[in-house]
Amino acid sequence: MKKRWKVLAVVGALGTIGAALVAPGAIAADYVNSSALLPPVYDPFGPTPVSIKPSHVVAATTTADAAIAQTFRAGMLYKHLVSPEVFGAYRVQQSSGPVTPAQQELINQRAAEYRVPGTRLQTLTKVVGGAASAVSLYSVGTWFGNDVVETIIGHEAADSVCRVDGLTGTFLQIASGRDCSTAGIPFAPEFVPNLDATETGAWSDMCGLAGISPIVVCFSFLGSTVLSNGSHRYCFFPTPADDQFLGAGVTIQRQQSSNGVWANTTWFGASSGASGSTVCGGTIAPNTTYPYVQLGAAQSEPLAFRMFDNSIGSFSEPSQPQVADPDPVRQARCTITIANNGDPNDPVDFSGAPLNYQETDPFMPTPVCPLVDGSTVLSIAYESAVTGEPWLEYFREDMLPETRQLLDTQPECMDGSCLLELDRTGPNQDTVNCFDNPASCRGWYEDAAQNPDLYNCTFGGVATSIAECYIYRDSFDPGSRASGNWLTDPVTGQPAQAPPGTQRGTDINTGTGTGTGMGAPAQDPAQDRQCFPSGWSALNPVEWVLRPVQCALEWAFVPRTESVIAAGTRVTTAAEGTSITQARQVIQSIPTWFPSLDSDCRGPAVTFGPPLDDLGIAGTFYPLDACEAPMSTFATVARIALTVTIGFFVALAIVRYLAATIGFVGAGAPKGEGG
Amino acid sequence: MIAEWFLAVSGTFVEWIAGLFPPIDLPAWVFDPLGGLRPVLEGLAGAGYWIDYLAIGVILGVAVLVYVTTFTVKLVLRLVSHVPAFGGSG
Repeated sequence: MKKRWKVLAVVGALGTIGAALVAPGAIAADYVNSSALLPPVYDPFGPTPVSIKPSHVVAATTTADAAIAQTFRAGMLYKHLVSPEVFGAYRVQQSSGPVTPAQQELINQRAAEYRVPGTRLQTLTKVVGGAASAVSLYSVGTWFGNDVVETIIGHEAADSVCRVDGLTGTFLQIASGRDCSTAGIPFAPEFVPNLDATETGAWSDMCGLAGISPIVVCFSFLGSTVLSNGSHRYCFFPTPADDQFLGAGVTIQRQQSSNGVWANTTWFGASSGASGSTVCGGTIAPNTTYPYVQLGAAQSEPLAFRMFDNSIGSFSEPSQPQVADPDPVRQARCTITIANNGDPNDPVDFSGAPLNYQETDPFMPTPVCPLVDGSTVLSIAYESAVTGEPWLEYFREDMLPETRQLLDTQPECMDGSCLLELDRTGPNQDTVNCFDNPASCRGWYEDAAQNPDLYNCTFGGVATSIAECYIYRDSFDPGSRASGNWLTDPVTGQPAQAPPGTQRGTDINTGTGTGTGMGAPAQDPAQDRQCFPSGWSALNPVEWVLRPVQCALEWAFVPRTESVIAAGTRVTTAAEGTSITQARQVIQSIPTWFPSLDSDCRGPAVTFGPPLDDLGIAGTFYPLDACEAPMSTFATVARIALTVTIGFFVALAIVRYLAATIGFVGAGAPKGEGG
Repeated sequence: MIAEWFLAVSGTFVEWIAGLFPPIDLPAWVFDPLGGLRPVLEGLAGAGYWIDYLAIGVILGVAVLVYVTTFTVKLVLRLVSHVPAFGGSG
C-alpha cells in the first residue's frame, strides 16, 4: 500500500513539473488573445526617458537651473538607468513625450523661481530700432533670457487676487493664502505701461449746417502746433473746400474748462486777409492755407471744439481728441508647435486659452501652454495682443539645433531607445563594448588621451565625439562603482551622483580585483578566473590556499550575469499574461479614473447636441466662464468665501471634538455635563 | 554554480506559482469604473477656478489628522491605564 502511494506521489510531482514547463507558452497564447480586449494602460510616469547626448545637456546647462541639468545628466545619459523621477524634469528642448502629471507638478515648482518681463512687442521694436524707450536693450536681453518657456508651462494663471491693489488686495492675498511674490509675471523694472495707448489721437470731425441756404459743412482736424510766442494753433480742413462760409458767420467755439461755457475763438479763415494766408502751423502742409484757430499763450488746452454759424444759430456736435483707451484690455497666450507624427517638416500649432490682463496690473498673467502629447515640441511662443487685434509674438524658444538635427537624422533616438555607447578596439582589431567588458576599459579616459583611436563613442549607433562619453570616465573603475560615484559630470569633471530612485537595469561587473588575501574582491564570473597566485603574491604561501578556495567559492556562489538576467527574464515572462499582471494593470489605471483638476478660467463645458440643433442653441457653452470681469472677480470672491466657510466650520468641529475629549461639552450642556 | 542552480529552481518555482493565476477576461468597466459618472466628475473638476480643491483638501485633511491623532492618544492612554504601574488594575 505504501509503495503505491509513493508511485502516485512521483507521478504527481512529474505532472506538476511538466505543467510548470508547459504553462508559460499556454499563458502567453491566452494573453495574446485577451490583450486585444484590454484598453491601453495609463502609465503615470510617462514614456521612456529621452536619451540625450551630453552636449545637449551642456547646452541646456547654460540656460537652465543647474539642478535640472544635473538631474538630466545623471539620469538621461547613463545607458542602463531608467528613472521616473528623472523624467519628471521635463524640458522643452529635450522631451518628445506628453507632459505627465508628475512633470506638470515639477514644472509648477520651477515656474515660481523665474521672472519674465511683460512688455509689448511695439515697445520692444522701438528698443531694437534704436529709439528711446522705457525698456532698455539690456533689460530686454536680461529679462528675455533663455529658458523662460520652461518656467511658463503650467504656471497657475489664477493670480487675479495678486492683481488687486491696495488694502483690498492685501486682505484678499492674506485671506486666500496666495503667495503673490510668485504669481504671474512681474513687469520689467523699467517698464512704463501703455506707451502705445496714451498718445493723443485725431479730433473728430465737426459737421453742421451753415449758410442762409444751409448745407452741411465739415471741418477736419489737421494738426496743432505751438508758436514761438506761446500761442496754440489748431488747423482744420474744410469740406466742401469753399471759402464762402469762412468769415461769414461761421466760427469755431471752444469749451472752456472753467465753466463749460462755449466761447468764440480767434478764428482765421483761409481767405480772410493776411492772417488767413499764413501757413497753418508751418508744418502741416507747406504752401497751403487752411482755416485755423489760435489760442493765446495764457489759454489752456481746449476741452472741445465745435463749429458755430451765428447767422442761423446752428452748431455741430462737440469735437474731442479721440484718445486711445489709456489702459486697454490685452491678452496673452502660449502657442506650442509640435512635429506632427514626429515629422519636423509638418509643424502643428496648439494654443492655450488666452488670459486677459492690463499693463497697469502688477503682474502679467503667465500664459498657460496647452498640454501636447505624442510628438516633439519644436517651439514654444508667447504671444500678446490688444484684445481684438492681431497676435504679436514677444518671445519664442525653439528646439535646440542639435536636438533638431537629432530628430532629422535619428528620430528613433527621441523615444529613449538609443544608447550612448563606448567601445574599445582590441589588440586583434576586434571591437569590445566597455559595458560588456568593463575590465577592458578601466582607465579608458587617461588611455584615450594617449591612444584616441582605440575608443569610439557612439550614440544610437552613430559615431560621435569622444567627449560625449566623458560621463563614463569612471564608470568602469571598481572603486568608483563601490562608492557609487560612477558617473562624471562632463563639464566639471566632478562625480555626478545618480539621483535617488534610479534603477539599474543591467549591472556593470566589477571586474578582476587587484587585492590579495582576504581583501581580494570577487572576480568577474564571465571571464576566466585566476585561481592561483602570480607575481609577488606567488611568494605568499597563504595565497596558495586562499586564492583556490576563493575561486571555488566564487564558482559555487557568484552567479554569472547572464544567469541572473535569465532568471529575471523567466520571472518577468512568467508573470506576464497572468491575472497578476492584470491586477497591476487595473491598479495602474486608477489615476485615469478621475479627471484632472487642472481647469482654466472657462470652467466646465456644457455641450448641447441634436435635436437642439433645430432650435439654434447647439454647441458648447461655458456657463461658469470667469475669464473676464466681473465674473473673474466674482469667481475669486466665491472661491475665497467657500474656502473660508468650510475652514470655519471644520475649525468649529475640531474645537468641539477636542473639547469633548477633555469632557468640556459646552456652556449650554445639562448640569453636570458641561465644563 | 550552486547559486545559479538555486536561481534556476527559484525561476521554475515562480513560473509554477504564476501558472496558478491564469488570465481572466476582465470587463472593460474594471479599468474605468467611474466612466458613467465622468460627465459629472469632469464638471466638478472644471469648476476648479471657482472651488479651491487644494485648500479644501488640506482643511479636510487637517480635520481627519486631528481626529486620528486624538483617537490614537486616547487609545494609548486607555491601554496604558491597564498597566498596574500606571494606576491600572491589570
